[in-house]
Amino acid sequence: MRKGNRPNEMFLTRALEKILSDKEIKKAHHSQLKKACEVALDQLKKESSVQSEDQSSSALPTPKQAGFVEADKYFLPFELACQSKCFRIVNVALDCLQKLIAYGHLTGNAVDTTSPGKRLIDRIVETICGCFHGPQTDEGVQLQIIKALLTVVTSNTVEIHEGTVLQTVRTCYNIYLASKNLVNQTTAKATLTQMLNVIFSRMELQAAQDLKQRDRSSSKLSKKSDESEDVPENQMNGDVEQTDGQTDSNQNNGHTTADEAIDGEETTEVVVNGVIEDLIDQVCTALNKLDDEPEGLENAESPDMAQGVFSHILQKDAFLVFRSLCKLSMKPLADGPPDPKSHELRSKILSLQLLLSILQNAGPVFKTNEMFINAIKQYLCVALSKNGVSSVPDVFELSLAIFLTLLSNFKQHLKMQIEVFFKEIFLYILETPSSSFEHKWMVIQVLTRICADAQCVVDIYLNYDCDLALANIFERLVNDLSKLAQGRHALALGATPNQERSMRIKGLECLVSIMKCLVEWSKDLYVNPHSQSNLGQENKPSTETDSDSGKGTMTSYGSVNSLSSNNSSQLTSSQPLDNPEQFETLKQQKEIWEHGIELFNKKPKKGIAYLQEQGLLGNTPDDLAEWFHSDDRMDTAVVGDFLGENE
Amino acid sequence: MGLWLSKLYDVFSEFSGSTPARILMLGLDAAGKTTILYKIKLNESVHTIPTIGFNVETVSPVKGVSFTVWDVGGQEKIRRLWQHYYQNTEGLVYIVDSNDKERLSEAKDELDGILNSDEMRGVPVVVLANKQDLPRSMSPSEVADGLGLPKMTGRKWYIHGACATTGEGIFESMKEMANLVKNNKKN
Repeated sequence: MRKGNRPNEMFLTRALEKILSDKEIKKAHHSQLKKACEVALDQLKKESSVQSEDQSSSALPTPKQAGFVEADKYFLPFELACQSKCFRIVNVALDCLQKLIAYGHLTGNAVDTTSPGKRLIDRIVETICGCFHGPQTDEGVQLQIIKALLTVVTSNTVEIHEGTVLQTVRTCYNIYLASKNLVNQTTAKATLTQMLNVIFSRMELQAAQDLKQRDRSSSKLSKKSDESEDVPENQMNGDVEQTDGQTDSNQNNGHTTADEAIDGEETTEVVVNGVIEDLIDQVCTALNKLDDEPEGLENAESPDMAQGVFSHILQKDAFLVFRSLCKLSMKPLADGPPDPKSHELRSKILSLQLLLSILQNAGPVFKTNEMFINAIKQYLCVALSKNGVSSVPDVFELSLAIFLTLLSNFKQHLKMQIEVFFKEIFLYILETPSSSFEHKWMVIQVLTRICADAQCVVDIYLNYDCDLALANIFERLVNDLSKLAQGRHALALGATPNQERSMRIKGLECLVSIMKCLVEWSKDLYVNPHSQSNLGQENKPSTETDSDSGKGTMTSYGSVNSLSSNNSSQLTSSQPLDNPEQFETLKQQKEIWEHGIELFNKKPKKGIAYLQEQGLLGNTPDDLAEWFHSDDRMDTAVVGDFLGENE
Repeated sequence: MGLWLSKLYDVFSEFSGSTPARILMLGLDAAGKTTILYKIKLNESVHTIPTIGFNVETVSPVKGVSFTVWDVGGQEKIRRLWQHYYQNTEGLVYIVDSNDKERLSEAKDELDGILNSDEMRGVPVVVLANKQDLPRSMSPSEVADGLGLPKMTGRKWYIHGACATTGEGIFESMKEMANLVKNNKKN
């Protein structure tokens, strides 16, 4: 080890010397790189002659406090080295960049002199990602890329946003897909998982701090108004990335570069291509048809969506990543038997796995921010409706797992979507003789979980069976389960007698769980029947909440001795009060409606007369037209005939 | 000429089957994993910062032995990522801070978790009872008991006291690791 140099400079010197000592460097096309290394070395020598002595090693850069050198100005030789196409040199350069970033010497916070509006870190990330040229890339280099990108995302001294965040995720994703090396594949996957954890938890952390800050400053205001702002305690905490000064600059940054970032995303997106956009629109409109009243944002083009309301740029980062993953999970598989080694299938499975882990770890921002909720409706639910009928067991199983997570964390926002999933996927698969045993088995597993959740069971009944315009999901579920338990369902394709028997048992178990839930709920009524009806009478508007729920929000109902469901506690603020009598009337009305519609489908005039007699339908043509428009339970052919023959 | 020789060497080493063995290095945060990694690699003692992602280096601690050592960050909230690194691991190096009595049982729980996973079945483990230079450190045998090593079945294990900064005990342990990996491959 040389004396008289500070170790951090020694680290740089050593890396540059290593690049210079590679035999490839003598070749003419590396002359620029060679020169850059030599210039940097000279500069380092000059600087170090002024510095003091230090005894420790130069194998790693020193931690920042021990002797800080801004390494940003030495980036050029490494950039050239990364572009050198000599894998040994690229390896050294990437390794060195990663270590400099990890130890806080390379922050890239300055403006990038070559491209205005960007910062040096954006170019650094671009350089790192540029080292990956598909499956032919040297395996060592692949690993160095993954390692460096993970450091860029997790480091507390480096800040990247929007397009650059997407680029890191996308590159790791592509390495997972393209690499032939198993170690690199698994490492890429682990890295992706960790990156997403960091991206989403940073967002939540920032929001939580913001809230704390606001609380504190408001309480401070009430005490002493002109006391100077003290340093936020989070600066002392290593976990925390953002200080408030940065926060403001980020927000400005976010607004000015929003359009660019989205453009950047579209052009660089290797895996997602334009076809997807069309596809989404197609499927979206299909899904929206099921919504009688789609919310304004649902039809918006995706770029508009991304400009919505984010209170912090970290939220936008997370949103962009989430949306990209949703789009990836929507990509159709090739026709023919699924090939587990194909890019399409591996990509689909990976994206679903990552989405599942995001949803399972979802924090308050994710669960409440309108942008995320809309992304779930607009992208994830579409992806699920496609993958939820997949014949590939892995894809199907992941979709079900995601659905369960949605049901427990997001059901209040997804009333329409959940109805579709029940009708078109779960119950459909159970009722169809051509579904395979494997599929049916997975569905019944999901139903077992749902039926064991008392809150869920009640929510299904009250939100669908007691909603005038929606399908009777609960009724159909119980019917299907009892048929299953009695073995009256069509045999599943290729099931052994043993499998059939376990299926029947499962069906029975589900029914038992449902009964248990009902018993638990009814306990409340017996314990305190008086308070229940009283509350209901005092609180008339609760029916309004319910009729409103047809517009896409699912209401959760609590009871006095609320059951052990996490949802009931979360919803306390907006929880409508129970009123059994109102639901009973509603249910009766619904039955009349259903009877009327049934009549109508046989004899239109009779049906209309019946409904008008019951006072549910008005007498004017406008009333009729309105009804034909809003209700999709009538046989359209009958409606057509009726309109045709009537004047 | 040099290139040709190195290619020839590559061919030879492939024939003799000495692609570096995959060694996974785990342990609680601040146990000294990264310091030990670079001690092995360069025989230098380094200043480190907490590892958030991973470090990976190809090292040759003993003549004729070559390892790819994966050093994965040990902070509590990122420990559940360890499982992603289990696949194809040929040897586990588990680093324990001998001076941290309070967290020895935590270290045991984490070790149990690793060894109970399917992918780590039969993988030999070398425990380094690090920070022996500190005056109040536990002896290697105390650490072994605390981790429940003597009761372990179905796998080879070895424990050695170590001091990452001086390198004491590290190279002996790597030699033992090389033996365990070699023997495990034969079986």
